[in-house]
Amino acid sequence: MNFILMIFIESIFAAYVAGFLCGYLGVYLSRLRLITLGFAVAHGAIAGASIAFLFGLNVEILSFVFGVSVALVVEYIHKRFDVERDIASMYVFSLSSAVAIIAIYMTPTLLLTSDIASMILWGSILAMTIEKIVFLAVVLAILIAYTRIFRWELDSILFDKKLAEAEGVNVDIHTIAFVLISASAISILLRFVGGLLLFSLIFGPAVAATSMTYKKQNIVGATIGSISGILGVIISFHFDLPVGSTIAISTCITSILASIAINLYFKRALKNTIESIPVGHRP
Amino acid sequence: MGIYAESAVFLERAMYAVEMEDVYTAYPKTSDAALRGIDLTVPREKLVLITGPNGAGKTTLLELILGFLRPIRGRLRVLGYEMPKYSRLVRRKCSYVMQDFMKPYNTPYTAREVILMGLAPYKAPFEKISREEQKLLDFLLEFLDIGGLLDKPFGTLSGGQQQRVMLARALLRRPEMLLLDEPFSSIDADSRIEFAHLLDDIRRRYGMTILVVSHDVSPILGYTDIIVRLRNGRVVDVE
Repeated sequence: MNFILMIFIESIFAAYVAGFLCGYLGVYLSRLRLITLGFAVAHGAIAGASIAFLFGLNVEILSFVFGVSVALVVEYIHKRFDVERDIASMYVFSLSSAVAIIAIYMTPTLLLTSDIASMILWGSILAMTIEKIVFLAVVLAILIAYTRIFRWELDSILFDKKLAEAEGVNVDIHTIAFVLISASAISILLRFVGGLLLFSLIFGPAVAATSMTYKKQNIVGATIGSISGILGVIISFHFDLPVGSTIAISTCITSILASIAINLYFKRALKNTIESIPVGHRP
Repeated sequence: MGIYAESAVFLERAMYAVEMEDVYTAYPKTSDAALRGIDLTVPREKLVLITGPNGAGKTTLLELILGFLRPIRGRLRVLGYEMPKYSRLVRRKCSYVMQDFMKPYNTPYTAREVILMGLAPYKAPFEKISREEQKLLDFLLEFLDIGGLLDKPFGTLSGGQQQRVMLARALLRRPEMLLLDEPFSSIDADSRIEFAHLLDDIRRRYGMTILVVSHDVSPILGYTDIIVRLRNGRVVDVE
């Protein structure tokens, strides 16, 4: 098979799995109000990757370790000092961004201009090997299985966190589970989408899905995410642009278009309903 | 522990729903105690009204009982269990209906789903509602007159309807103790007495302890076994 075609097909698969995973995960993070935490985890992962890059260590492992550590530090600050999770996340985000910048600053110029550095910052189509796609698919399978197995508890937490706690649901353990899954996904996706833009793939579809529908928001988010991912890869290939940026742009555009389309659909449906009511009986 | 000591503990658990001895509690990052020197014993299967002016500590008392706040002094036992050590266990045995519990129209759950979620702590993965639970649910739907609301989105229900759905959720859990925070606030004046009668009926039928926090005492006054009056974080009167 043609080498370029093979890379293209691999990238499309990667974009599909990545988009599905981020969209699905993003809806839960958004409804659990963990979006800022996700943001801090993503930047913690960049710090890990930058340090790995500086010392020649494994980028995925260190970004995973840093991502998880950031999340655990945020949870510790939130619980121990009764600081809002969002505020704690912003503190840790600033800290990890500073660490990342110092690590990049200390990295020899020759290494900094290499492909690996650009992969971490704005992503690369070449970064996704078959093994990494399989790993992402495994993370996605774990996430779906987890949300199915613990559906009762998760629904209860998503409906009202305090009430779920008052009824004896272990909210903390499920929060940590989501953080671990997020950190795993982010550490792998860092090279593909790039640390600076990865967050848009988690955030965009989630916001669109939660504003579009009451039902099956996770599936809607995953669908928007996978369409955005595939579109981003195609645009990136066609115009030879950084894949992270094209995925971020396609995510924004797809999410906005999907929201507009669904609003128009409901407006039309409401108009049809009102028109079907005989004149004189209309409200 | 010997058999007599175990029996004594069992009997004590069987007798009291709440035991507080000189309990003080405070909200995090405050220098003032929200509840001070509370001495209160609530026997099981009683309907208790906790009343007092705004800021008296009524909701704080419920939060303390459920383990959201820790006693900074004194001793607290709920359903015979030391708190806050056994908070999660106690929460599983209680049901809580929160104050002004209103969800927006875009809440992505139907009334049925909201009711069934209350069973989350007792359900194994993929476990469905049992025949017994279904029977109880059918009864509650009729009892609370919410049968027609089951498939409607929860957020589109009125305040009173949402409150009834939350009560069905709380009762489906078959709790040993039911805690209601200002249950009359979203019910119109005509339905308040009917609701108070319903609570009394529930208590008699299921033999559960019910703690009702309300500044509006008139609807429930005729049904209460104990009235606890709070002011400035202290119990000023128990009758």
